[in-house]
Amino acid sequence: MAEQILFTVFGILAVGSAICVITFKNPIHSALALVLTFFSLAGLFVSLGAYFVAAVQVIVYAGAIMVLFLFVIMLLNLGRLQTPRQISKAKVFAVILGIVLAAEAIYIGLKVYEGTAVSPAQRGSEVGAVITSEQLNQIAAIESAYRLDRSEINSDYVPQITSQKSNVDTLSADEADRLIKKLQGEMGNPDRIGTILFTKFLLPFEVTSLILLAALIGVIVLVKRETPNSAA
Amino acid sequence: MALQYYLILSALLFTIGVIGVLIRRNAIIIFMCIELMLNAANLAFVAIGRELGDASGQIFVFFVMTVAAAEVAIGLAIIVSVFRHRETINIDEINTMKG
Repeated sequence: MAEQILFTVFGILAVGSAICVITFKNPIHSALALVLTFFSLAGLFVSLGAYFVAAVQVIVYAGAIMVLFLFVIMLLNLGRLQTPRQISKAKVFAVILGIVLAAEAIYIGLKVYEGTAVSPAQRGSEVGAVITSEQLNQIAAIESAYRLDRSEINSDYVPQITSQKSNVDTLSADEADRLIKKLQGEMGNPDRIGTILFTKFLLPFEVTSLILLAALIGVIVLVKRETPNSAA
Repeated sequence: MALQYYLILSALLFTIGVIGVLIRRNAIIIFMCIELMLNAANLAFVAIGRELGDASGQIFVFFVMTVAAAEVAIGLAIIVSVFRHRETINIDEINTMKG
């Protein structure tokens, strides 16, 4: 229920402010609307249980990146460069193209959903007294994805579901469902994110630093002003 | 909340970004629309990651954010130097490379 409220509020806010970004005439107003979009996306990440991503979204996007945008807009004094709005043929064509693209993307999204969703009927037939093999597989997948140990799950997470048991294998199917939900809820936990980032994704993480270094050098080269006596 | 709603929302945000790139002539606004598209992709990553019970989706969002930050720094530097030479960032007037 809480998730539905969060999704509805922030979803409408995100789409509305995104439309404002592309319709406002003044670049500064567009930039502020984009900040609002980023905040509502952070809200959507919270509703998805990705708390750490939500925090980073606010700090990096709404903070650092948007400040950079506003800084450049004000540095170049772009507020005065507004062009009168005219509806050209190209704009009409662009909007039609956009509607077609949206239709296609939504169609693909629904197809993806069909591929991953387990129908309620299928799920209902599996709920029994004992944990099913599918649930065990799911828990095993979570273990490998989060670098968790079975003994850790037994000692830390199983007691949170039911106080009488301390072993995954003795859970009922219903309890196992709750355990899986609980474990998946831990996904946005900075602890888990950090563990995965520095084990499974260590090499990509290091390569990222090269991208940042390249960007740093590139910016200095691009913006450096050639002074007449610097050649000497 | 089912995955499909998040994917539809992500598709809508991405499309708004695409339309913005196509209809606006201000290079900085076009840049903002690209950021919007990257964010729409991030939303899809996190939503699908949760559906599959895999945190890799969230890790990928970090990499997207890093690349976005690098891209913004470079892109704005290019815009600043173009503005120094041309006194404009209207992309209709910056068409020297037009084939």
